Amino acid sequence: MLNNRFQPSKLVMAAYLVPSFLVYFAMLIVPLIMAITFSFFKFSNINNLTFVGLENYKTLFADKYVWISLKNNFFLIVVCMIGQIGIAFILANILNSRLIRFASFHRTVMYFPVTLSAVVVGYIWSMVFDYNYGILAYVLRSLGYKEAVKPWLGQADTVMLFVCIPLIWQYIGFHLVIILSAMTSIDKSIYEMAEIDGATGFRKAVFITFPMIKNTLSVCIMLCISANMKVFDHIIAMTNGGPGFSSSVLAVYTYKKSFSEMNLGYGSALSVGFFVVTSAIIALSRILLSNKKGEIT
Amino acid sequence: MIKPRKMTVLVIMLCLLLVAAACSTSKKTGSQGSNSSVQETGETTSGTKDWTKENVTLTVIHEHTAEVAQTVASSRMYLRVQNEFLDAYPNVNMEVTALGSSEVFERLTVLAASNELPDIVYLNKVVFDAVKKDNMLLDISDYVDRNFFRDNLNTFSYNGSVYGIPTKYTTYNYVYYNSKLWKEAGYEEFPKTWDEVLEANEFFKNKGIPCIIFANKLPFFSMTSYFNAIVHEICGSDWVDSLNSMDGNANFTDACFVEALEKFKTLRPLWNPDFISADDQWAVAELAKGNAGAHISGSWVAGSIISHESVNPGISDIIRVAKVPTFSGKEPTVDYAVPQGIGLNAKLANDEIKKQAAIAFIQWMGSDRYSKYMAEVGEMGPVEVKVDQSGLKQMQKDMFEVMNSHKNVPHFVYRLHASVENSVQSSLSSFLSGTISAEECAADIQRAYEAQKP
Repeated sequence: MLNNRFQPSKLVMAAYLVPSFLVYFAMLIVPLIMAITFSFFKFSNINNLTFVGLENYKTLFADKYVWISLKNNFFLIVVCMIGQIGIAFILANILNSRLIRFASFHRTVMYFPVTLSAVVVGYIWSMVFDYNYGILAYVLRSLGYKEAVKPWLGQADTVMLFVCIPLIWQYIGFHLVIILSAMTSIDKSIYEMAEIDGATGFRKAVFITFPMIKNTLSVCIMLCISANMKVFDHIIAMTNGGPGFSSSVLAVYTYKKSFSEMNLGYGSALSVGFFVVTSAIIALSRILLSNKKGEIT
Repeated sequence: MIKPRKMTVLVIMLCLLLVAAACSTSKKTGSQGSNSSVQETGETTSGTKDWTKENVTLTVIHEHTAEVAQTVASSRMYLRVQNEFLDAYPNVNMEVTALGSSEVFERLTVLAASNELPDIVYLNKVVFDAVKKDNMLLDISDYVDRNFFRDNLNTFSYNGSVYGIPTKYTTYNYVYYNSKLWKEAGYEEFPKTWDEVLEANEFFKNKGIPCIIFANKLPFFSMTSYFNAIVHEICGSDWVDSLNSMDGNANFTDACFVEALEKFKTLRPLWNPDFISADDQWAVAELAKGNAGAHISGSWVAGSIISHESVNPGISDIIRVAKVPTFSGKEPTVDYAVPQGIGLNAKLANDEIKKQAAIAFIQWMGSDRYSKYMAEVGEMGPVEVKVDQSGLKQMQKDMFEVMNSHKNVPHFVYRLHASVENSVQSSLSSFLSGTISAEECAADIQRAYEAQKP
C-alpha cells in the first residue's frame, strides 16, 4: 500500500509523458521523416515534386564541396575539442583550487560569452580580425610585426583557424561549468592524501581529476561534436563560407543549396547525410570512450 | 477536494488541448493557378462590382523598412509610390511585412515552396525561378506594356508571358575615382585601358593606398563590378546569348571564358589585400575618405558618396565617374540587372475585386513615378525618364552620361538558373583567392551549368 502511494501507475506515468512526446514527435521525428521523404524528390516548390530516387544521393557523393564542407567540420571538431574542453579543464582545475579567490565571480565571467548570440560573436570577432582597423592588426603593427598582419578571414590557408577562435572563446564557459560540477563530486580527502604524498597540481589534475570525471568529459566530447557539426551562425557572420568554399561547413552548404538555389530536394538529401554523419561520429566516439563492458568511462 | 487521479486526468487533458490548439492551422482553400475553381475569399464576382468602392486588403512582404528608407533611395521611393497609391485608393488596405534584405527572400522562398505567397509577390531571380513554371504567379501580360520598361520586362517573363515588373534597375561597373589623386598621378581622366591603370598603380602603391579598392565579401561584386564587362569584351555578346539560350554552342569551358578569367586575375595588384573579406560599404567610405584611388561598383554608390559630405566636405565634387576600362581599348558595356520586382499571386484570379485592386497597384508601381523620383536623387529607375540634371552633382551627371552612351547588357548569366549564378560567384571567389586555377573554375561552373540543362 505504501508503494502505491509513492509510485504512480504505469498509465499515469505514460499520460504525463504524452504531451512531451507529442512535442518531440512533432518537432523532431516528423521533420526528419519529411526530410528523408523529400530527399528522393527534385523540387523547388510543393506544386512540382518530381521523384528522382537516389539521384540526389548520387549527386551528394559526387559533390566535391560536400567533402570540403565535411572536412571543415572535422577540423572544427578536432580544434574545438582541444580548445574548448582542454582549456575548460585547465580553468576548472584552477577554479577548483583552494588558492583561488572569488571563484564564483570568475565562473560567471567565463560563462558570459555562452549567453551571447552567435551572430553577435561572429561580427565582433570579424571586427577584431579586420585587416585595416582590427585590434589584432593594430597590436601587431604597434609591436612592429607589420608583415604578420594579413587578411586572415580572406585567405584560404588561415580562415578555418581564425574561425575556430571565436568558437573556442564562446564555449569554454559552457564546458567549464559542466566539468566544475563534476569535480565537486570528487571527495576532497583524495586530494589531501595526494598532497601529503607530494603531488603537484598538474599530477592531481592528470591522475586524480581526469580519471574521475571521465564520464563527464565523454559527455562534453559528444556535445562538442554535435555543436561543431551543426555550426552555422558564426560562419555566416564571419565569412559566409568564403573565400570560395574554404570555410564552408555542412550546415552552411545545405542552407545555400536549399534557399539560395531553391534546390530543396538536394538540400533535404544533404540534411539527411548530415544527420547520418553526425550520428556516426557520435556513435564512434561512444565506442572509443567505452570500456570492455560497454560502459562509458 | 479533487482526488489525485482525477486531477491527473484533468491536467493531461488540458495539456493535450494546448498542444492541439498550438498545432491547429486555419483551413486554407488551395488554388492551383488561374484555372482553379476554388474560391479564396468571398464570392467570385462577375466583374460588375467596382473595386474602388469595395474594401480590399492586399498582403505584401518586402525589404523596405522605415530604417532602410532613411538611407537607401530605392526603398524611400518605393514606399513613397506605394503610399501615394494607398492615398489615392483609401479603400485598399495593404498589410505590409517589412523585413531586412537578407531575410525577405529567405521568407519568400519558404513561402514559395509551400505555395503560401502573399498577394503582392516581391520577386528576385531565385524566387521567380522557383515559381515561374508552376502557375503560382498571375500572367499580367495584358496589363503592362513591355516597351515602357528598360528591360522590356524580360527579367520576369517566362514562355512569352509577363509575370512581374521591375522595381529596381541597377547598372554596374562604374568607376568612381578620386579625380584629385589621379591628377597627381598624371591622369586628367580615368584611363581607358587596364594596362594604363596597372602602370598608374605604382603611384598609389607609393602613397600606401590601393589603386582600386575592391570589396568582395558578398561575392556577387566580382561578377557585377568587373567580370561581366570582361566576359562581354573577351567572349562577345553573341557568345553570352548562346550561353544563356543553352544551344550547346557556348560553354564555360570555352577558351574565351578561361582567357577572361586569366585576364581578370591580372588586376589583383590593383586591389587592397583584404578584398575577399572587405565589405562594399566600407570600401565606399574609404574612397570618400581619400584612402583609395578608385572603386568600381553600381549606380547606388553615388548616393552613398553624397551622404559622406558631412564628414568629408567637397568629396562629391572630387569624385568623378568613368566607364570601366577594357583590355583591348574597345568600348566597354554597361551591365544592368533587375534585382527585384513585383508580381501577383495566381490565387488572386479567384477574387475579382482583389485581382483588380492588385493589378491597379502593379500598374501604379510600373508607371514612371518611381523612376522620376529616383532621377530626382540621381539614380536610375526601371523606366526611362527625362532627367533634370541641373540639381545633380557632376559625378551623377557622369554616371548618366556613361549609362546612356554605352550599350546596356544584362549579366552574362541572365537567363540561367540561380544555381549557376551562385556557382559563378563562389568559383570566382575561390579563383581570385588562389585556391583553384582558371581551368578548375571554369570546370566547376560548367558542372553547375550542365546540371540545369534540359
